[in-house]
This record gives sequence, structure tokens and C-alpha cells, in this order.
Amino acid sequence: MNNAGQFRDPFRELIEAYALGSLDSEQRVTVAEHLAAGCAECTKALEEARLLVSQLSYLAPEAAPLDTLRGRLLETVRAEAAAAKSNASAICKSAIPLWMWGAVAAVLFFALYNAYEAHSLRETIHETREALTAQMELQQESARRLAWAQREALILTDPRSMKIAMSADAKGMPELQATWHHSMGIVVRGRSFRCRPEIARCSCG
Amino acid sequence: MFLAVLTRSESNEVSPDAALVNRLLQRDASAFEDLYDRHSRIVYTLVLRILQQASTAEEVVQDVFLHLWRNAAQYDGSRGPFLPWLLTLARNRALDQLRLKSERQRRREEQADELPHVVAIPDFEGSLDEKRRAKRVRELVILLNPKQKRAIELAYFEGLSHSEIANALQEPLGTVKGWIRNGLLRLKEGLQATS
Repeated sequence: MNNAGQFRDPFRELIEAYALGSLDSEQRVTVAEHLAAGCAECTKALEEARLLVSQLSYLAPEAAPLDTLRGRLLETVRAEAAAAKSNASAICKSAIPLWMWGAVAAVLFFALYNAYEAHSLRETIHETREALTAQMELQQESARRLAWAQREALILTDPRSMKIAMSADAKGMPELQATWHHSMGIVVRGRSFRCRPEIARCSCG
Repeated sequence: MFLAVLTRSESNEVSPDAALVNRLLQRDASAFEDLYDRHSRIVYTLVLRILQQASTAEEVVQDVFLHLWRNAAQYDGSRGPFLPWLLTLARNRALDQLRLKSERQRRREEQADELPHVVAIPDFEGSLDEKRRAKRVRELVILLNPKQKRAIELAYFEGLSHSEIANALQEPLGTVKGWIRNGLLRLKEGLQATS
């Protein structure tokens, strides 16, 4: 009747009764666990057994429901279908068309992007200006120092300059020597400062 | 024809029922109407046989079809034809109702008053196949031992377990198990041979 292999599996013998729902609770649980464990053969057998068992419906005396049931059901279903369509169209058709929401979003995006770009540009310009100012101040200071050095060199090297020694009167006073030029000014240099040796420069125009 | 019912189709062709179920997913009320017209009679026949009370049977049938309308996605066409799935759903609902309301007790009292509706309804597509299938199933079951047939009916229409059937028929448990298993296998072979 059937191949002998099917009967070696104890669960396989229970599948029809499982599909029929006639197993006692303990066996039903056991078969359910076996199916849940993934037995492919029994799962396939169960699908076929369910088809077979459903054929038993034809043993019942033929009957048909009243038309009123059909009417009630169709009324409910049509109302639900209409409500579903209405909800779907309400989502799609809002007061403002979808393209307009898109346009507003695009405008907002570009406005925000432009504001960000302008802010970044202002910051760059500010930083560039500060760097330029600092550079100019540095350049002016260098030119000033160069002019001083040139004048000092001229005073010290010009043969018309006069050297004036100023001896210290008291201990701890520095020894100073001045070089004076009648038109370019005077350079005073000192020694024996307590602090580190420095040259004090001054010039008179 | 019967072989097709008892074995899964290997083709990728979508059955008319599966196509209608797909339209249910799009909330197509006319697809529901078609499905109802195709299968309401056999569903009602089954539910009425289980509950033996027309008003309760109509409630259950309504519940089953509304469940289908609202949960069509639960049907998986790859796991078998639609009608057996629908009949399994209807049978489970009817047996739940039977257990819930202790209909078995009430049925005995009300049986005299309640007669099943046997209403002539227009033939629809597939009804001829369905009638032939019903006739063949009945022919095959008649060939069974009367107690064997009764055991299968008690299991299917009343939801009784092997032990309960053994008690009801006053037969050994092993005998009942054998009757049911052998009866179903003979039915299966008979339907396959018919194809």
C-alpha cells in the first residue's frame, strides 16, 4: 500500500491523525515538537494530510447559507474597502500638493545652504584681514628697526661724530659712552649694567 | 482531478482562488464576492454539520469570511490550495464554537427544531468538480466499516480525540486508532486512483 520506509518513522504514522486533530494531548504535543524541529518529510506529509482531511467536508449533508448572510458580508466588506480607499486617497491628496511640499523643502534647503556658505565666507575674509594687518604691522616694525640701525651706523661711523665718555661716579652705575653727530643725533652705549648687557639707543632728529 | 487536490501542484500557474486572494490584498471587494460565491456553500455545509444549528453556523461562516477579508495575507499559496486552507480555518472556528458553548449538550435539546438550510443556489465555476469530488468522497467512505466511518466523523465533525472516540464507541483505543488511520489511507488511495 505504501512504501515500507514511511512506517519506520513513528511520527510519520501519526501525521494523518494529527491533521485530523484526533491525537490525545500528549501525542499531539510530541508531534508538534517534532514538526517544529524541522522534519521535512513529516512537514510535507502534514500538508498532504491536511488536504486529505479537508475532503471529509463532503461527507456533510449539502446546505447553503441564506442570501441575507451574503448581503450582510458584502455590505461590511464594501464599506471597509471604501474606507480603505478613502484613507489611502486622504494620505495622497492633502490640501497642499506633494510637489509644492517638495518645492518648499528645496527652497529651505538652498536658503540654509546659502546662509552657511555666506557665514563661512565672512569668517574666511575676517581671518585673512587679521593676518594681513598682522603682516603689515610686522613689516612696519621691521622697517622702523632697519631705519634705526642705519642711522645708528651712520652716527657711529661718521668722522664728524664726537665721542663723549661718561664715567660712573658711584659704584653700581654703568659706564656710558655717547657718540654725537650734529645733524643725525646721538647714540649712547653703556657697559657694566647689573642686568645683562644691552645697548640703549636713542636718537634725536 | 483528485490527484491534483491531494498533491501540491508543481507548476507556477496561479490558481483562480490564489488570484482572487491576491486581489483581496488590494482590498478588492469584488474578489471577495467571487470567493464567497465559490466557497460559501461548502464552508457553510461543514460548519453546519459541526454545529448543527443554522444561526450559530451563519455566525461562524460570517466570522470565517470576514477573517479571510481582513487577513488574506495569512494564506500562503506555496503551501497548498486555497479551499483546504479555508475549510481548515472554518472547521477550527466551528469546533472552537462547539467547545465554547457546549453545543453538544444544547444540540440534543434543539435538534428537533433546527433543520439545515438546503437551498438551491446557482452553479458557479468549479461547482461541477466540487459535486463530483463530494460524490466520490461519499462513495469511498461508504465502503468503510460503519464504525470506522463513525470514528472518522466523530473526529472530524465533533473534534473528539482517539480516547474520546474509544469511549463513545465502546471500542479499544488501539482499534480506534487503526480504524482512523486505515480509513484515511484508503480514502487517499481511492481519490488518487480516481485521478
